[in-house]
Amino acid sequence: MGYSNSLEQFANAVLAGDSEVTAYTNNYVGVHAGALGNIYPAVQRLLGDDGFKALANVYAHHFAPSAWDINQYGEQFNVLLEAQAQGARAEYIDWRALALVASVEHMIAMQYYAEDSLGEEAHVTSLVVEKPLALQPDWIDVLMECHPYARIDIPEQLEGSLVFWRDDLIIRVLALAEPLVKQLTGSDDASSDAR
Amino acid sequence: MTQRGCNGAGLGLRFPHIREVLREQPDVLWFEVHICNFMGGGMNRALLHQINERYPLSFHGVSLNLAGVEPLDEDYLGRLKIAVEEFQPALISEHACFTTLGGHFFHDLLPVPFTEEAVVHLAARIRQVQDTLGRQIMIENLSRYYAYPESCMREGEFMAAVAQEADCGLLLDLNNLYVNQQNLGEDMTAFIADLPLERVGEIHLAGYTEQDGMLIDTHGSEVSDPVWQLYADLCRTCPDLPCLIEWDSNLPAFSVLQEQRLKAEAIRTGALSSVKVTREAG
Repeated sequence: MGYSNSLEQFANAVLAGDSEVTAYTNNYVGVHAGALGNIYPAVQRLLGDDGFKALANVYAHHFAPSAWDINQYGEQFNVLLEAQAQGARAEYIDWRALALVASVEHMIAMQYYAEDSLGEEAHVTSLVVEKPLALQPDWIDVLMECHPYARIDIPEQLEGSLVFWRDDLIIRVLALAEPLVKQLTGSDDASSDAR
Repeated sequence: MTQRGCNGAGLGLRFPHIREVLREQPDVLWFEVHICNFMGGGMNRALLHQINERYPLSFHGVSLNLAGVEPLDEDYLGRLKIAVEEFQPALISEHACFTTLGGHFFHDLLPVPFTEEAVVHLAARIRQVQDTLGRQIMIENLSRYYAYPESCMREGEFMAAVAQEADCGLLLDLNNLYVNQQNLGEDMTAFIADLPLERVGEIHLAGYTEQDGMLIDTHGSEVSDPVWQLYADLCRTCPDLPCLIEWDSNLPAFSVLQEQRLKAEAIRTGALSSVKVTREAG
């Protein structure tokens, strides 16, 4: 068997969960679920370790990574969280608010790996909150505790947009009116939607 | 930026400890970072500059897909080159593995069969990386949970052949050897005997986790006694090699990492003293 075929057979076995490569299949799920824990520590704390692990494993099983950079993984985790509002545990937590917390965490994570360079203009991104949403004050506290490099200045009643940028070694998160956001970001390209 | 080298026992630096390191400036000889986390711009790169002002750095990669069959990712390689030129790390290392196949990113260090074809393939790609970076890199042996039936050489022979063919260095991970010995019945002392030790430029020490009767290289616990013993044995032959404590999951307080590092440093300096005494007596 040629080298390429050997690798292909092995990789397919890992993805199929074949018994002889179980350790690799487990690791594949575990490393991606772990990446979600790194990017979404506030969601993990609010949801609890067991609940977070269950959803992270579901995500890792169904959402294949699209880049070599594992820090880019999980950009649709907020969608999975929001979908839980239609599921059996709809009453467990405010899933829409939790999805917003996830969106904020993802935007903060992207500031860590932004495509700017030292000395260049700050890379400003924004998050649109399409419908008014209330965040519990202690949830904002959890966000701040989990992201000690971020200064998160957002109200409990959210509507409009949140903007994110790096100010030296601090990531700023601020709620702003929509026209000002467009002025800051220069375009709509850098924005994400939170429903 | 520092031009200092990585000597003695260093530590793997993970994100939760960066603030503490910058604030406390602990007595650590050097740090190794997973360079894949620092290849964009943003906050991470700014933090790494601050670390680099105080400590020598080693760049350790996990995403180069060195043994993969698709062409090397030019974007990744370009970013790595920029980072190397910007930070001037004392050491650069990667793994003898593939991480991507058919557009699927595994984010894991997947093994390859130990064949002549694999030696030629891997060595050519290492040469490509070294030519791009303009300097030598080291290749690390893997922890493995599967043995390809088509392998026709021992892992130590494979690594030696790759290093010879590519003219690269070797990074010797002792915990990986122990894990492979326990899981696959491979002999870790035979592995070391197969290696050209003059090409080894760094040693990794880490802990494992036991799952379903197998040892998994999680880097999530203290270095085990057999691995400490193997390190002590190796130090009798080559005490000058820099060694690194790797701890990635279930990350403990920084002080725990320091205790592990100081233990490694004590073993290394003890062996160095013994070698000097023996040389002087001879």
